[in-house]
Amino acid sequence: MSSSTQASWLDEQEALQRRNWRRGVLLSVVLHGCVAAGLLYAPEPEPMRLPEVISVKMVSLPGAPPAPPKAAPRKAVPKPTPAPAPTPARTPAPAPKKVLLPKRPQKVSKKRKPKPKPLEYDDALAALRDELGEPDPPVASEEEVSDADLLATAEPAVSPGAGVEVDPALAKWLLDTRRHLRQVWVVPPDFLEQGLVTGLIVTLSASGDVLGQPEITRTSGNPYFDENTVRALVRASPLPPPPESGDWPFQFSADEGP
Amino acid sequence: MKLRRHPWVQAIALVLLCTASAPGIALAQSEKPVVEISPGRAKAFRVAVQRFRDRAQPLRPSRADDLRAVIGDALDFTGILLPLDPAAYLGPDDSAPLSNRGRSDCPDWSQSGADALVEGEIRSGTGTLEIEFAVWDTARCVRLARKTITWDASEAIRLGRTVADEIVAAFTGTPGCAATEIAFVSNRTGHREIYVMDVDGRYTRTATRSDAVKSFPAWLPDAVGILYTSYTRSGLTNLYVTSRSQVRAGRLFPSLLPGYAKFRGVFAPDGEAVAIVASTHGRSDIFTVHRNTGKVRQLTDTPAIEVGPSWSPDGKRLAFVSDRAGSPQIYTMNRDGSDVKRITFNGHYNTSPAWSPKGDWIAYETRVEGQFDIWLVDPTGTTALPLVTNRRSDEAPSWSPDGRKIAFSSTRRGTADIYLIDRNGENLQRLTRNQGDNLAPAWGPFPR
Repeated sequence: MSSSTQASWLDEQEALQRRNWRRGVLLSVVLHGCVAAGLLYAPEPEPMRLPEVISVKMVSLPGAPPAPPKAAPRKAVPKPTPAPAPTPARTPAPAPKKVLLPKRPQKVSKKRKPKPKPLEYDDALAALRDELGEPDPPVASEEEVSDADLLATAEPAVSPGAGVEVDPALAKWLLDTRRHLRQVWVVPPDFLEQGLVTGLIVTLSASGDVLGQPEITRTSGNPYFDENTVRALVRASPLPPPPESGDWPFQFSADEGP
Repeated sequence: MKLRRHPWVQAIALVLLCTASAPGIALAQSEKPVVEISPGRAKAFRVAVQRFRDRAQPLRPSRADDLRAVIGDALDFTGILLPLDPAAYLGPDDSAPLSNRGRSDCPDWSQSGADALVEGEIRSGTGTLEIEFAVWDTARCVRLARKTITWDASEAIRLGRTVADEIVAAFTGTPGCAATEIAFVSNRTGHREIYVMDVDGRYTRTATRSDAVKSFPAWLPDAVGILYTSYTRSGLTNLYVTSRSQVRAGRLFPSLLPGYAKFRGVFAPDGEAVAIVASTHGRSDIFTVHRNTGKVRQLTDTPAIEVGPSWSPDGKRLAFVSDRAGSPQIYTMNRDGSDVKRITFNGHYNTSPAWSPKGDWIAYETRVEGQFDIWLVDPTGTTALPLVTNRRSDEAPSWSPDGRKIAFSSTRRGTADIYLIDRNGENLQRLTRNQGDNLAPAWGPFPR
């Protein structure tokens, strides 16, 4: 801000602001005068007449009414705050309004058997997001991720909307495996915010050992990220013992959400 | 009975039996759930750096240890691979002679907690120091890189930092920026001169030395010189180059736009053109000048003030500041001046755009209650986010060439100083202190 050109901007800008301020004060005085005159000379309104009898007809309903869906609170456009600057997130699509999605369930007691979640809930949620043009929800930090959260994405890769439930043993393995890999997988900031996703097939022994090199079935387009996912799987070996030995599909996503 | 004993019948029956029972005894591949993994908390790899084998002359016992310390500090600076304490090594601390064979001790290193292992050798040439090194992925026991780097023997620190930057490149595809430099303006001697320092704030040296006021340093693309603005005796400003002797120093385009004050020049990433801010009769416009032919093209032609050009990394567009809408805002345009788009809408005073090396963000300063904060906006203007906010002014953002950090000047401690911050708003570092006002940082490119 040292050049005279930029300094002159500052001066012009302040003069403009002063002019605007004077106009605003004048306009405000005129408007207040108009409102005061209107209140003084306006005729008094007639009182509203109520009917003498109000009749109500009761009808029976076929069943209990469904709970009305809670209106999702809308989030305003983020404002600058003096708090530490947040991680810049890349969201190329315009998102003038944000809808807060319902909170995920709180931490489930470990004594309870985790109940597998049917597909319909996430499908409905995804449809809602699509309709509103919203990206996927952000990934919570390690401390905030509950078992239920981890299970929420542990659905079988069958046709969506089928409502298939996951076998409890399988669900537990998915949960343990995700937790184990999240601890091992190093994701430098370089790989974030680019929507990188790599799919792999991994051959697992009955004891969870990664046999041979994982095979990349879907590249992210970034060879260093692809290599990083293979590295994570090999480094994480042995994984928790799977329900059965053989090939298992994995998908690593660097997208932490908005 | 005879029919059932026939081998063909038995084989067909066996196949049918297996086919019918398979779904019952195992999950078909298509029915197996995809194990979806999202990032956890681990953001940095761990690296074991062995003491390099020292074969350089003259012998200096501490050379290998000093080099390892420099590499470690440089890795810490970039923050992608953090060095392990050698005390934790389960493998040898000293590098063996480099070979093309595989390693048998990867499990030891992996068990030490190292994602990467670096081994190397130091050699000397005529007035030069040469380092050959290899980077290993310990989990897969695969060598990711093997390189040789040579520098002037007097620049051993720069050499070590370059090795560290290459280790980062082996894991991420983008080198670190520890071996780069930052130019800035300082009045520490009473005159506003251009200075250059290493990215950790050390080894500051003067790049200009005269009584004239200088401003707006901008690097040549190959880091051999710095373009800057200086007042002439006639009172006009002009563009000059200060050089590290590879290019001719002095006034740039002396006969360009006579009568105009040239406020600022910025080289295109390919070095072929320079975007210039020139002013006459109270208006200021942006031009490009071809470096070799001197051909001039006027990109903006409005009564408004238009300044602050910053090239996109592909050199196809420019971000700039214009007050054509009544207040200074950030715009982008093609390099021929067409397709002008406004990208900032929050705030009444947005200036100093700096396009990131990856092209995904433009940093700029915005005035809030009389002081400046630094924000990021994407090139389409859809998303704008605060990066640096403070009660005092934070100004003049400049990206590191790897796009991981931003340098800026701030008055948060009274006098203006140069600071660094990671792109995600973490790791604030102060580089200059107690030496006058330090302004207008310009982060240099990767050394070539």
